[in-house]
Parts: sequence; structure tokens; C-alpha cells
Amino acid sequence: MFATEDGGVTWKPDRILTGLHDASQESTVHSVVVDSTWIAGRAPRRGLPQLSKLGPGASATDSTMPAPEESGVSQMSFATASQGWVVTVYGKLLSTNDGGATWTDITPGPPQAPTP
Amino acid sequence: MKLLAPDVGWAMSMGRLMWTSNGGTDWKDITPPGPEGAVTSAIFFLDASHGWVLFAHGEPDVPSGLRFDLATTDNAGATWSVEPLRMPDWLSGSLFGGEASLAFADPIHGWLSLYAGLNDMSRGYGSVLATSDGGRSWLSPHVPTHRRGDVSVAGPIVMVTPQFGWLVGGGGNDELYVTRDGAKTWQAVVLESPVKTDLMRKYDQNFDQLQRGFQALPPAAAKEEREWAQEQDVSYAAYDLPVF
Repeated sequence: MFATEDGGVTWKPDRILTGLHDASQESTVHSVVVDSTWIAGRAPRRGLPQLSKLGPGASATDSTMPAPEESGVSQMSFATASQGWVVTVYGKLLSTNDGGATWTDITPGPPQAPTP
Repeated sequence: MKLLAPDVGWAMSMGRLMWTSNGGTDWKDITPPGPEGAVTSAIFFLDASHGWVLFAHGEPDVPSGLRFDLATTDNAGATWSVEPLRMPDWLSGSLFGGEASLAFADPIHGWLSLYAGLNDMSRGYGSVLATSDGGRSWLSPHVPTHRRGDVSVAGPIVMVTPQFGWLVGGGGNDELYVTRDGAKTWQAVVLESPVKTDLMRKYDQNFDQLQRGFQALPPAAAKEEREWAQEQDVSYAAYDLPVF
């Protein structure tokens, strides 16, 4: 990952990211940057998302290497480094308030039929 | 899906635009009233009040056949104003694929990137339009010169200020561009990787006519390849390669 401090005129390597290529899905794992922390997520086929977090100056060894059988998260959005949402490839919308330690399923239900 | 504030956000579910203001405990359907058969091309919320939704409808395979409508709200989707997208005449016959990206730097200054043509060759190329009246009218800030090096790139767009923003586009949808003049011009940003970590992504293959050969794969892909090979009664032997 590269960082710029002059609006993109010059760039310098900032940190090394690992695990962002989901070989089993032939796709790039979705990730976000919030509060200077890079967050990448994966979700096991059965289970809760696992986040990899890299702060400024972090190296590859600081990331959590995902297990090979895991698959990619399809979307991510974080308001802070601890509060965020993840959509799994299986369509579940999950939220966390503690940086991924615990998750709550907040998948919207089907639209309610109008009350007669 | 976007978390706009710790408890406020939107999500698309089953074709419906849902809104929560209590961290996902309760959801409200705020889907704008789009045209019959329309698909949602892009959604952008600037904050917990101002949002825009772009609909595409019509015939994507016919010049001028694909049409766009833009829905606008300034009250978190409680009410919407839906109007046909007014784009420059010279763009009306273009073959857009319906994919788009919306970005607003404030409630009146916005940008719309229309991209993805009929095939992958035109993916990442298209047109970027700009509005300075909240989306009522759109103009192309970039007038093609047709000179060498002048390309119309389009793709996911992020505008930091009304003048300064970023765009990912190009034929492979993997080229980074920056603008400092409100999308009038875009300059490619080339980042040379300091490390070569993608050696294994080349998936080198070398097979003869009898389909005997070697294939280099990263561990996860090799696992799936072996599972496939077992199903197909294909023989594979795995060898570990040195890590560079």
C-alpha cells in the first residue's frame, strides 16, 4: 500500500498488505481504510468474518493470515476502526462494535407487505 | 451497503434500499420510485440526509436505448424527487452498459462516472459527468480532444473536494487517475511496486499434446485444483516450490 502526503504528487510505500488476494475465488478481498488502519475481511463458509488489520508502518507479520478454506467478503464499510459492517459472499449483513471480536446479524428482512 | 455513521447506514436487500438509524436493529424501506423494470446503477449518500440513486432502464444494446433516471433525497429517503438524467446531447447515443459510480463533495457538486460498455474491451472507459446544481443537470467537464494520450476513462470515482478526486478505470479497470480541476482532466498515477509478491499469480502452465505438464498454483488454488482433478479422474502430483 502506498501513501501520499502531497495530494498524489509523490507516493511512498506505506505498509505491506497480505491476504488480499482470494485465490479460491480468483478475486481481491474487499478492504477499507479508516482511522489510518487498513482493514481486510474474510468470512469462512460457516462462521463469522475474520478481520486483518494493519496500522501505519505495519508489516506482513502484523496481519492475520486467513485460513485457505476461507472465502472473500463481498462488501465492507467501517465508520470507525471498531464499528463496521460486512456483507459476506453468502448475503449476510453483519455488524461489529468491537473491531470484529463479536458480530451481530443485521440482515434486513424481506419488505413488509403494506397493512390493509 | 454503507455505514454513514456508527448507527446510520443503508443496504440493498432483495432489490430494495433499506435504511437504519439504530445500528441495524430496525430497517426502513426507502426505495425510490424508479421506472418499471429499472435496475439500480449507483447509490451515493453524502451524509445521513442527502442521497442520490441512479436508475438505468431501456435497451442497453441499442444506441440511445439505455436511459437513466436520477432520484434525489434531502431527508434520508423519506421523500424522493425522480427525474430523467439530463446529459449532453453528444453523449446520448453512447453505448453505456449501465454500470456507474456517483460521488458528491457537497449537496450541489457531484460527479457521475458512466462506464462498462457492451464488452470487456470497453470496460473502464466511458464518460464522467459533473453537476453543480445537485443533480438536476449534468455536463461533461472533459471534452475529448482526440489527440494522442487523451483517453476517456471512467470507473469508480471518489471526489475529496469539488476540484480534487480519484478514479479507477482503464481497460483492465486497474489504472489509477487523479484530477485537480474538477474532472476536466485526469492524469494517470503510476505506482511501481517495491516488492514482487504476485509471482505465483501468473499460474505458469506448460502442457504437451498429451496434456502432461506442470502448473504452478498458490496453495489455496492448488487445493481446489486437486479436488477438481479427483472428480475428473485427472492425475495430479503436488510439489512445493521455493518461496522467493
